[in-house]
Amino acid sequence: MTGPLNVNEVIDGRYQIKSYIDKGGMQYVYKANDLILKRLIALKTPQNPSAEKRFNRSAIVAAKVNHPNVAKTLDYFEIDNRQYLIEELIEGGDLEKIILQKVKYVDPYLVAKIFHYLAKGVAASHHVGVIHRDLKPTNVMVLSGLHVNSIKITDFGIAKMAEEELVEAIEDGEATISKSRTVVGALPYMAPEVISTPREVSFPADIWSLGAMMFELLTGNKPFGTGLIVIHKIIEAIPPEFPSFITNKAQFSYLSKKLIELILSCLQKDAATRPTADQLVEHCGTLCYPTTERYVGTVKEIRYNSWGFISNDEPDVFFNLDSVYGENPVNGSNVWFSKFPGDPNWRAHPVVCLK
Amino acid sequence: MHSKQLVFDFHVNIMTLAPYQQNLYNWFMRKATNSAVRRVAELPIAIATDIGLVRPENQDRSAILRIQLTANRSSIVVVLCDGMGGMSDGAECACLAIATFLSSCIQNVNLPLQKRLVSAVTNANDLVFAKYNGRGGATLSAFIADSQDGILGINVGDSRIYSIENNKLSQITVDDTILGQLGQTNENIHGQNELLQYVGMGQGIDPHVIAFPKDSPLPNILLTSDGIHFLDKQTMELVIKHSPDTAIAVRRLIELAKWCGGHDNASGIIATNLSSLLIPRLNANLGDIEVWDAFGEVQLVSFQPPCLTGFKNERKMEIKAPIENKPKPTRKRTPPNQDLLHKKTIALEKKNSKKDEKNQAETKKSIPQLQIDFDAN
Amino acid sequence: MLDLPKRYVPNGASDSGGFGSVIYCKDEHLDRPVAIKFIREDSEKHRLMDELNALMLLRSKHVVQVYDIVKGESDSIGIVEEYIDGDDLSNSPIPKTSYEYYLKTLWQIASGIADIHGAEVIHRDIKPNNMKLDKEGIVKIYDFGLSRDEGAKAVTKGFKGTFGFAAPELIASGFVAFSRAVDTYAFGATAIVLSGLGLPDALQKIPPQPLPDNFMSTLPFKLTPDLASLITACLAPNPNDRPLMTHVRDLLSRHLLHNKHQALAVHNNKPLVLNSSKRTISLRFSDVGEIVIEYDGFRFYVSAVSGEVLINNQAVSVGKEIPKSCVVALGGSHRRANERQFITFDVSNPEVVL
Repeated sequence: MTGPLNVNEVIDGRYQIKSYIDKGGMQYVYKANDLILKRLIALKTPQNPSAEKRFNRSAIVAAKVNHPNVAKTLDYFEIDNRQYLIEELIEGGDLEKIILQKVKYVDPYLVAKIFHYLAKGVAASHHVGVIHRDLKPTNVMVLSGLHVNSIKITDFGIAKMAEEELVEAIEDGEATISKSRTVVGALPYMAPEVISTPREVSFPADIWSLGAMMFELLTGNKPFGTGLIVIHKIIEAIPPEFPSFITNKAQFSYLSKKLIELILSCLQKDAATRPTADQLVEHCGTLCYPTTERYVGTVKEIRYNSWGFISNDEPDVFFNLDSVYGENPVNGSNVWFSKFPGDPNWRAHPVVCLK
Repeated sequence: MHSKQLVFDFHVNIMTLAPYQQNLYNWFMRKATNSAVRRVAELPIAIATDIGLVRPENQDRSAILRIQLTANRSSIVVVLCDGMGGMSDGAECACLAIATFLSSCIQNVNLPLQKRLVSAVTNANDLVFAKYNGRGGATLSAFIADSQDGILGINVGDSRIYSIENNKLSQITVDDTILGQLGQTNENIHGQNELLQYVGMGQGIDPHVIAFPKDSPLPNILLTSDGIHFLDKQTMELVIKHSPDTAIAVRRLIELAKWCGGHDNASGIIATNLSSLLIPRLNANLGDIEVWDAFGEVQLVSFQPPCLTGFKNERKMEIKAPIENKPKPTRKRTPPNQDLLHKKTIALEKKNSKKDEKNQAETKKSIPQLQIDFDAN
Repeated sequence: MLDLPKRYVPNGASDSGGFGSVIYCKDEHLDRPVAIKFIREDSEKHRLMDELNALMLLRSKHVVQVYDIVKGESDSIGIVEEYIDGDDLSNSPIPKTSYEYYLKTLWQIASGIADIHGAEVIHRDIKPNNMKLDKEGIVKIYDFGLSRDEGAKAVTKGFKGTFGFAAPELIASGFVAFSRAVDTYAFGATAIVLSGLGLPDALQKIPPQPLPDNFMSTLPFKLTPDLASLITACLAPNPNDRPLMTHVRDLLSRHLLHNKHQALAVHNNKPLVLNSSKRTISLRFSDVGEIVIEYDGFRFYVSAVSGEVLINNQAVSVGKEIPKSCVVALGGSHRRANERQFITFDVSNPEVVL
């Protein structure tokens, strides 16, 4: 265990700590049992005084959002000068850990699904006036690993209400508390106005971040790169280029082109010209993507440089190289795929190489 | 600390770094008082640090390193690291960063200045990242004054280097924050003041090499952690202007920071008369490697000057006791670190943290140093 | 004396009715208004708690959220609910303004009930005044019929509900076994009332009577035949004849999504798009097989097929709806790979936009 709490410790006579999960941006996260409602929940408590400053506020803001694609804030309380946030427990991991660390890029089918789900979550948030302000892969939770059964936005730590004045002007010297949190992870997804005119940040900043994340999923690259130079590239907002593999296969090109269009619409420098979350939901609703489950297997053989078989726990699955998104697999490659009934073998589509 | 033993399972050029690096790490991790200031031997440098009024531990680490390579050549490294409070193990990260940085500077003393500095930061970044996976880190502001190669600085994060000329401060580093990068100073909005890079972030680090003003005479230099430089610049200038000497100046800056809330750990180093740093010392022991921080000093002895032999062949070193009471090196194993005791001591010492300048003499007393001897094999 | 947890600060307003009493508070912890409804505990306490737990886990856009449970006076418990600032549906003109609004309102109600049923809870008191329209025009169902002993106009022992909306089985016998079909019945009655027509006489009889034939044609809006028979079926006297609410919801969304689907077929490396402006494609592979797929505004279906055609490895017949995601194979499985053609077929997932 790590952090201030111990296994079996009961908080508020109600939440019994089961295990330590992780350290989030500024908080310790535990899995706990709600003894009254007999359910498992996530219990969060701040790591340090700087995290405490916004903790209550972020609970209030997050609790306003109620949508299946947003991790639900259930409760907030303080005991013995320690703050606690009770949140829906999501067993899984974040988009970074579950997907981006496992594959170089994600096929347009799954990108469309993730895009659609996240747009719905963001739309629900925007409908109740909440700007998330920190959308990035580590703040998107993915259920059941590479199967990607569900997607939930989490960590409203710096979220704010649209009408709320920025209340975070920091007292003298407390600016130094900022070092407890870095923007290294968030920077690649920051909208230009977040960098240059932070007082004018509103809903479109979330839309930009969504577009930047989808760019990364589809291409494997961050739209404006990494490092300090990113600041200037983002402010200039020169539309990023999409590598050719995204559109060079017929199976994917139609959907890829639609996604590229949508992503670029999100990454417009002028916040007013980006689509609203509602419009994004509507656009995503026109995308044709399957919702079939994903599997992981190993390429067994490839014949005539055109088709082959994937073995996993089930009987071997046939695949055609036309169904491969991005780099082609070789014998022994681990791949990620969906499959459809076929005879004698099921048919894999799409197929993406694992890292 | 027994629970913080370094475990390296990666391939940085650690085999040759390890002897200095591990010992320096242990040295920087030793228990210390809440506040200390000192002048550094005969060098025109004063160094001070203070835990502040809010934080439970001091996660700043700063030090001065001097290597006497030959009769004609010495190299002095001045470095300040601010561990990232709230992230994992801020103090450990700062210790790891500064120890690795310094050991790399020793190891690569024959590289050109820029390469030497950049690879020292790169090594520190790699090591901290390998251990903390981006979850912890430190800022780093440093410069090397080398009698052969001149002066050059490096910076990562939001600790700062200022030049002081005619009692005017000019920041010669650029903060790695959005505000710093955009050249703005007065928006305290979330995200604007947060670090864009730090030692320990892993991929993508882009340390800034800092050329020093070439004026003659060379300006005086101030290194600060943000526990000091959140103070208004004009105020800092007035404090420096009206202090009788550098040690008092840096001490007053820290006291002032505490009067203004003491929200954070505060550290500062003032170096004057830089030109003198570039003049090789006479009658120095060849191969002497000395390190000072605000609390004390160690001497790393290499029996032959590193520039002559390279460290690969030279495995035997000692960390000597403080120079003040130079005992003969005796050989002992590193005692296990007494973590609990350490914490208790800090808790007791907290009450004494509001010392004024009159107590400088007391805080100057350094803490007894470990005596260590080991085979690098 | 009521001993509320300190976080709930009453704002002075309160209400009472058949369900028990309600006080309006501010939750200081999460800075939001809440309604706390007090109902008497009874012998079915465990079941009540189970239901409340289920409701707390429920995440529906169309159901008022249950946040917490608190102890009330003596034996009662308090249910802490989301407070919705808005009109109840019985007072709202919106559903009556257009056919589209009407369908959207019904769809929202059906979605909410389907979500409630999905959590294995029965509402038991569906009616327009137990639903509110919030400031964004979203329908929120509230006031679960959780109380066992007391009910509005409890004429029959064990009766719980509202006449006109209560299913015949609730009124017919003294002891009532609930099934979720009571909500379906009440939905049917609600659908009629929201059209602006008022509660039909047949439903006001005790016990309620079946609707006269062709009653649905008297509605102010001209329903399509499938919708008319759907609502009629909701009011079927036999609970087993009433449709599932998921079915009701899906049929309504089908109409709301009319002509809004897209399908993408990729054949021989060519993408082919089907939608309301391009409704038909035919796929033919030499003499081996041929299939024609058509979009009728609701679904993509097989309008003609000949030769060897398999969809997801199953035989194809005319009229069959194409699965949302499938592989169409031209050429039977006895053939070699190069003698077969595969077409992937994916259908979009549009949402009802409110």
